[in-house]
Amino acid sequence: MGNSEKNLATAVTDLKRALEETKRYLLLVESVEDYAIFVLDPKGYVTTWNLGAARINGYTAAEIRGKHFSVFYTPEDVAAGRCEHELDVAGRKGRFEDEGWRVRKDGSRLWANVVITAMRSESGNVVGFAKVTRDLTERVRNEEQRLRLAAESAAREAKAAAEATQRVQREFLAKAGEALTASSLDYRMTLATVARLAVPELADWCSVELLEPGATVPLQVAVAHADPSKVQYARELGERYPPDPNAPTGAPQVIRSGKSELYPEIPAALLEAGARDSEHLRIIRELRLESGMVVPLTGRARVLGAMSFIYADSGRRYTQSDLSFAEDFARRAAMAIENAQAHAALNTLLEFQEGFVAILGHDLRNPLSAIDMGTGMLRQLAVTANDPRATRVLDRMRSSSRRMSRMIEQILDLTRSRLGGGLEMRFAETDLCVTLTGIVDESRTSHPSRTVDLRCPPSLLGRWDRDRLEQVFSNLIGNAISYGLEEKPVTVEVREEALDGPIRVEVHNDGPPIPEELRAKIFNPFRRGGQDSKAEQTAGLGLGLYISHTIVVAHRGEIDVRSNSAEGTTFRVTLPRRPNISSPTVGDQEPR
Amino acid sequence: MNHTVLVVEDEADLREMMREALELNGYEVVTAKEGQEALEAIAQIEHLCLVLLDLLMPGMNGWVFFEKMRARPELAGVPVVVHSSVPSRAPAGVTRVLQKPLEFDRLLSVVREFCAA
Repeated sequence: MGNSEKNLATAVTDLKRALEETKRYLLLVESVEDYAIFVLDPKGYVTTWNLGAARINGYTAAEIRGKHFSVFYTPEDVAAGRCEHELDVAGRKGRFEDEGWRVRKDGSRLWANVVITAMRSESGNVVGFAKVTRDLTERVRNEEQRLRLAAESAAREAKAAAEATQRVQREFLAKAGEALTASSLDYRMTLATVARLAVPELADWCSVELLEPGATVPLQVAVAHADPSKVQYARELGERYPPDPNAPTGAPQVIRSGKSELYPEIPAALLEAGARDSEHLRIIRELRLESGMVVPLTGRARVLGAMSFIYADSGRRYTQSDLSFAEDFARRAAMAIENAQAHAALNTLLEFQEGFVAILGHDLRNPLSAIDMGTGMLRQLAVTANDPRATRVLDRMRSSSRRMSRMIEQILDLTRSRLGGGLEMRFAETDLCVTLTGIVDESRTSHPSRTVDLRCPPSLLGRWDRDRLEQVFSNLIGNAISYGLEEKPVTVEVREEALDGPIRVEVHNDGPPIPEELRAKIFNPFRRGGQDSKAEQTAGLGLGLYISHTIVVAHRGEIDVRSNSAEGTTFRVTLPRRPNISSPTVGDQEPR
Repeated sequence: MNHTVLVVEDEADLREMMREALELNGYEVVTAKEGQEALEAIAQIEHLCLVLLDLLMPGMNGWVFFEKMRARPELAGVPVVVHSSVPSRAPAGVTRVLQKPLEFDRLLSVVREFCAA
């Protein structure tokens, strides 16, 4: 055999071997099941197909050969020009890789990892593309499932956490609300209770600062931590390093501004700024204050204080919704504090009033009794000894002590009608004319030089408080005598408007009229008539007409005055016969 | 007619003034500053015509005294006149009620009704 033959034989052998190898290689490619491996012509038409491709994409080799590879893509991707784009990239860069949804023959989708590699001739022209597709649907499904499960579980946890927070907040509101309304008197103790209720669920630390009325520096009235030893430590720390009332942040600032502060994370700089020295800073750092909020206790007219909530080493963080909750609660707490303060003020006033009424009603009357008793007795002795000067002096002393006693009665009536349980009224069948006759007789005795005319039917019955009406008409008749002209009579006239209808009593005197400006407020307390010398003799506290008015109104009646220089002065009292009154007392408050 | 008056009153000035005023007018007077003392004294009085009783007193008050007094049959007929700053709260069954401040004339006229000088 010549060389050329030999060479040819070698070439054939080589070619055969190469063919075998290519066959084996093609067999390998065709039999791979896990990967779709096939070739596209330069325009994207399928030219080869393997088992993996058939399995993954659902087409047989016969069905797909000659079809454009866009059949594997979703209509949206096709419309977006994705197929052209992928071939373009692969052609230019040699390779294109992507993951995404593709479409099977039956229309179902698969999540595919796709690698498209350009195949070039020796001259460098693109002669086709090798496309290798891996079906990752299962993996993606699993991943999706895992993510979905994770998300669901996170949502469940978040929901549970939110519910737990709400439950804790509700419990806190219920207990704290109870504390706020129950022990309304000692609000400082109430606030200490509230702070204790907040830990450890709503805060690791909770404190309350109050700015008492008139104070310039807020005072810490409560501090709470689940561990009592820490509370003690905080107190000592507060004594050693009293809080700076002018600090630009924290409770004093919140009290000044009325605006809340929220620190989801307390910045280190804030702690450093608040520290007095390195030792203080070391202690503050040791407390590991991590998150906090300070809310104002806003009252009707001013900021009463502030409430601080701090998370320390429990790893929790305050959020905007925690702040809203705290602000809401602080508003309620402020209202309770104000109510308690008002309550305390009212109690002080009531106690004062009770003491006042007791002194007037009891303690002042005994000495007056002793004085009256003594002057009466001395007067008796003076009359026996025929000493007219001593008798006159003792008369004056006695009339003074009785005037004082009347004034005490008036002040008591005023106090009761204005402040306390109201005037005590006792309604009973009363003959008004008998009552008036008694009063007129008495005034004639004490003013023998004066004429008092009474015009009254023989009997006039009604359901009234006899003692109280006696007070009214003694006052009116006394005034008429005091302010009326000496030489003219005082007249008291009683008229029935109709049978069993209202009664009208007019007490009249001649003399200078009551000045206009005085008339308008004549039934107000602490007013009295002119300053002439006669009036001075009987001057009281100017409560007589006020009390008379109160008594007449308590009878559901009316009292008014008419006064001019031509007709003189007439006070007119109108009384219903049987006022429909069940309550024994009249006044602003419950009878006591 | 009996002529001894028992005055039960915690305030010394008033109590002594009542004694003076009544003695000046011919009555015998025994005084006590509260109910217990009055209960002890009342057994010793021979010609008791009247008890003048205050209500608000430290120790045994007027209400308790009146109840205990009424529980003794031998004292059942003795008139009791209450003098008080709270006349509306006088116990039921007392003979009369005087509003404080007590006035000399009124006191004498009441005593005259029940006692012989």
